[in-house]
Amino acid sequence: MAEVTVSGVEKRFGPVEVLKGVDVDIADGEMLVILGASGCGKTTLLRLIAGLETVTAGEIRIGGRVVNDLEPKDRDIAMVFQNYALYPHMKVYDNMAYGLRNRGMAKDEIDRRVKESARILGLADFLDRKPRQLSGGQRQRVAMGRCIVREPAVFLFDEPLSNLDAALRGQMRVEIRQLQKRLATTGVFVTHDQVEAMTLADRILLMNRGRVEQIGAPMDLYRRPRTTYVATFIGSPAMNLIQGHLDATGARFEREGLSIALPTPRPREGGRPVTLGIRPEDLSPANGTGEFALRVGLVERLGADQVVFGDVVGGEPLLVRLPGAYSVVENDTLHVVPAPDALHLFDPDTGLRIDEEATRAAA
Amino acid sequence: MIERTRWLDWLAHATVLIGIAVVTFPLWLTFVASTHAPESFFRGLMPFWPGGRFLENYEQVLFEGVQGVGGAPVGTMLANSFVMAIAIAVGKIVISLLSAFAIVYFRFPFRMLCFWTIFVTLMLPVEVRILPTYEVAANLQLLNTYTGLVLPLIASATATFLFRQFFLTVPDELTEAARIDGAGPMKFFWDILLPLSKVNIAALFVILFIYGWNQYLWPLLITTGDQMTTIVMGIKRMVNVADSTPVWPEVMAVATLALLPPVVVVILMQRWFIKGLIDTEK
Repeated sequence: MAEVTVSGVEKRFGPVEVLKGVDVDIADGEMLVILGASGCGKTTLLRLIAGLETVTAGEIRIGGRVVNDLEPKDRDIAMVFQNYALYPHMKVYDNMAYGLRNRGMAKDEIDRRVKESARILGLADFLDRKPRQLSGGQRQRVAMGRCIVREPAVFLFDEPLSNLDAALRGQMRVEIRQLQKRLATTGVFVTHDQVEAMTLADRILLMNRGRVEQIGAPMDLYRRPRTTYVATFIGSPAMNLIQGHLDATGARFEREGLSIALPTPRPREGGRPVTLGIRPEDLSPANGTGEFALRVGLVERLGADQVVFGDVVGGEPLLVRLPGAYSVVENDTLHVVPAPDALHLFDPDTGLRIDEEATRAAA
Repeated sequence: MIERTRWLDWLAHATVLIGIAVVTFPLWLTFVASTHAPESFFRGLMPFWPGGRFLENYEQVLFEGVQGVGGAPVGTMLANSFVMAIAIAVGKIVISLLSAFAIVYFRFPFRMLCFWTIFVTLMLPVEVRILPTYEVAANLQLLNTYTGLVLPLIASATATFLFRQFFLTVPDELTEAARIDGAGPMKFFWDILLPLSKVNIAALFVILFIYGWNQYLWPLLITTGDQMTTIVMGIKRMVNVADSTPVWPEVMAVATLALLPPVVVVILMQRWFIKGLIDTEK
């Protein structure tokens, strides 16, 4: 039970700057998912919290206590590794009990905790097995069990689901979330999979090249991405980005052969170049009177829905996500209309979101 | 894929049988010779089948020593060899485990220099450094002691290298998990690294035991008294008797006895040994 505070944390490996100043407050009992492409520094941040690496600059607090110079074992954390890192020569029971024994806990207390965790995780029948006699999902559970028995202040998860097959991953995702909520333990979960991030997180921290791109509730990142990076990272298929400019009154987005009315006019931004973002799922077919027409290229039919790879006039590629039942013919022309409140405007140079003036004034 | 034909099968079996015969025939002769009376060899011909003096010959060498040769009874020699071989094998394993652990898991100045220094000593087997080693051992009053027999042979670059390579294959996450679980370096070594190295240790033990058992040159130099004679030296001495023919049946009985401990070690450790050679257990 503890909050985690990361302030101004930097990490350099020799000349390589991996983290360039990260600030985040994780509330007690919250599940924070650190999301990002590989090499963005997300695992490094987790390892810094765990104490497996030392910070170059900045401060990490767990439960109000500065832990910069503490060994991992003294930080009151437990970690689930990507490849589980179970001790291959120990039985499941001993794997879970090892950390407790090292802390000199009484035998019957260890026994009680291990049996209790095994019951929660459905491992009661496997306590006498060695890790190699277990399936991937069971090993995953043992790794979780090793954390639970410790009753730590913070759970750290380093891409724990990436070695599982798709069905099991979905199941374990749910189990981890339920368990973390039930134990009300603060959790930090690193992943590169946005579905995991969206489903597990109370808040997501999206990282890019050692910096925090955006922190927020999953649906905030989806609905109001702060940058084009966030916009294209969250959501699948990725958001369409179209380069253009606003007309003089700021009421319409203009581009060669394309003109889209904005839900609220932005007179102050009139005439400036902008990047327009539209999610493929925010475009719906309009019978001949749509805002723009596109030539249908490839169609990927996924069952419940289908993804249309098209080109608008001017050759700009555009993805549209349509209900599976809608009939689309390749090489045909498709008219689509964007949902009015689903247009995102970004500065083409900085990639930052251009907010509605009302909200900006309020802020 | 090699084609299977009757002719090839025959050839393969014949080759294997010839190979086995080449290896086992001398062993058989040794055994046969150890079961005859000394007179059986005077005509210069070897009998092919065992004779009737098995018990007498072995009793003689084990408890009274070989006839016509002074020196320790064979039992003492066997014990000396056994102590030396065990001490060398265990010592080499302990030392190389610890040095490999230091090299792989700790960052200290000149770490790689240390590793390469150890590695370079591979080029300096006992025979090369035998005179200075003798000088040192003599100055330290180690002549005619077990310490003197064992100590100069106890460091092993090969074993250090093997353990280093093995430790490098142990996933880093395991080390980190142990750190989080509150295991200090030596606890990690004892609780996790050592059990994982079990198979490698067993395999090395067999190899090193035989290496120790078969030492000849160094024991020959370092020991002078009969009480410290090892079995390999002893056999040589029995053959070189002055002014008479060696008592071949008894010499052969000693040779057969000298074969047994390594055989026992190999058989006992066989399962682990083979496992260590062929698989790297995850």
